[in-house]
Amino acid sequence: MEKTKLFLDGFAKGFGTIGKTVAEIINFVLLCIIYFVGIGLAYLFTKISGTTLIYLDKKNTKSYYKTQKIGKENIEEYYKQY
Amino acid sequence: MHILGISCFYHDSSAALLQDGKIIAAAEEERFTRKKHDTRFPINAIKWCLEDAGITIEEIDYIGFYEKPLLKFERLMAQHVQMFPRSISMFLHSMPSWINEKLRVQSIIKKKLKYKGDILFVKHHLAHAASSYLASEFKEAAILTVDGVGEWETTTLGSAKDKEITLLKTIDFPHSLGLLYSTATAHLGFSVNNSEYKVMGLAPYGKPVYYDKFKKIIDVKEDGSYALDMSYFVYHYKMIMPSQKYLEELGPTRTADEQVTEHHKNLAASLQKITEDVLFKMLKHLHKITKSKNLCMAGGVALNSVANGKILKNTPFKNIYIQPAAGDGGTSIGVALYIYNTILGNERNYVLRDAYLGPRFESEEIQKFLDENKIKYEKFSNDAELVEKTAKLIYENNVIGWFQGRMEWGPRALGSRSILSNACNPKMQDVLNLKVKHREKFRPFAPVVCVEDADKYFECDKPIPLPTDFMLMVYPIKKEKRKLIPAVTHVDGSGRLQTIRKEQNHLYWGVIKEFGKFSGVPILINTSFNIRGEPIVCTPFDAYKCMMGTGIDYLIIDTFLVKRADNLSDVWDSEKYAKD
Repeated sequence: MEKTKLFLDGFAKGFGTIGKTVAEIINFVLLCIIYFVGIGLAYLFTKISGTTLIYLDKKNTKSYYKTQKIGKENIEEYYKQY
Repeated sequence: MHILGISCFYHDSSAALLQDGKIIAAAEEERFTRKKHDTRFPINAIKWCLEDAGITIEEIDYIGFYEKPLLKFERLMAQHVQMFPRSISMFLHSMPSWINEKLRVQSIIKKKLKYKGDILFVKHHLAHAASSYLASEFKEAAILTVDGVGEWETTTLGSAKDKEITLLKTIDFPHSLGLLYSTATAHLGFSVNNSEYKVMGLAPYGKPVYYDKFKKIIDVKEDGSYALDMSYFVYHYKMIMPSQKYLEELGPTRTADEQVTEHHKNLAASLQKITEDVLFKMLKHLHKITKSKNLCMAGGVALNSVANGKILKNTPFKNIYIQPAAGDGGTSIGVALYIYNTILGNERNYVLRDAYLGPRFESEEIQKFLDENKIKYEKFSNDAELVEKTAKLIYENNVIGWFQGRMEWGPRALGSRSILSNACNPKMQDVLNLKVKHREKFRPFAPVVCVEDADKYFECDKPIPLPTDFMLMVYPIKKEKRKLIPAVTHVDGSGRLQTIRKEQNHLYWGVIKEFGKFSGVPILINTSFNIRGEPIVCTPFDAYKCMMGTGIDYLIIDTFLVKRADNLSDVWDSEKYAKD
């Protein structure tokens, strides 16, 4: 009885590890597809349209500040995650 | 009205509970899980907040989250697209946590807390700004927030009046003073988002000989606005921070076990100097546009106590406020206050004057713990006996674990979960390092002094700003006094002091005063009560475990005195398990 229990526990543990590894491989493959198709296409689009998403270069300007007015908004705006 | 503020999934998860405008409970998740800088959903901190207030989740009117997750996700996607295909490793590393947690914040909150009410999302830097201004005593102020990065912003300049806060100017990712400091921290072989304060402690040993090199890396305008030369960095598309060019310019990355050399000290000094220069320029500009004499600061960079101590001398500001948890952990109180005061328009009725917002344990509970675990102890008959005995033990060069009242809010131990020892003993630094802390030799220990005695020993701003009570200001120690307190005098003659007021913590205040009667100098060493690499202790169990795993001689826990030597059967070696 004890041996059977030990065997079943070990089996379940091993199976769980295999399951986790398989899930990680699938995740990896899916994320690679998303990256090269989704992000890759977006990259091409920005290149073609000349869009800059992040300003990496120093600008020739008097100030690097971006003037904004971030403050109180209507309460509905705070329900949004964006 | 009850509002629960939550900060999580980046670093230093925390929860804070506001009741009718006042923060009544706040704690970081790491103290409960015992995992330093725990990023996970702060379920333990939330449960404790509710329990402490004696309410259930149904009685929460609003939950506030400390950032706008989709805006942050937008910035992350922009990074990946812009840096395609070099950002692949970062994409594979970061996406699982976004898919599983960060994009599901709302459903996670509702599911984990069984919460059916409203959830509001406040921008990260607004939450920072609110955590400082709305917790301050100022009716109007200028605000500076500087950290690694929020959604897009890394630095904001703003102003506040009554209940309203407006951020007027920003600097956006990837240009970030916080990330420059973190990059240098990584380059110096210390852990990012954890050991920046070590770089600050290392700086006084060096000379700023690399200042000009840093000036090539960061272009600073007269108004304090800045841009990084991104060819020196790779953090916008890799899981590491400095680029090859950075290493070519400033030398190879120091490995964690490598000796700290003059070169490393000079790098730290140069970085600290450029950081201060940028901060002072920004603050002068902020004063020019706001005309306010009051300054509120927040964000991880506001934990740079060396720079903070110089602000009032180097800028036109007359008053300063920084709350104890100025980093991301502190945004949970910021979002709660912002909802109550700014969004809902309620009058301000709260000032965060002390950091004692965490769990407390009643005498009966502590005695039960000691009895159940067969721990030998003595009980003090009154406060006077406790104070006198503790001061005497410290004067006799014992290392004391001090566990009293509510746990501190923020990263510093401020007299609730502290290790106390004799600041007058020149060997005390070595004793503490050998017995308990096992720190790098260059790191100083901090002094604690009663506020009324501070200017006898330190060249502090007058009146002494409240952030000094939170160990957020480094000041020079008066030349003639340095030899009296060698254990807390840093190499440049400065001290990262904590000032304490009687009304904040009368026992702690009393021990310092009593020690002054024995030694003639009312100053103690105050360092955090923890095992190396672990968060500060929270419970009596944590405190006892820490004492028995280190070389702490006595534990003063509530009204009980526990002597290590009386309980040797529980001794273990924490250093075998310590991680930094």
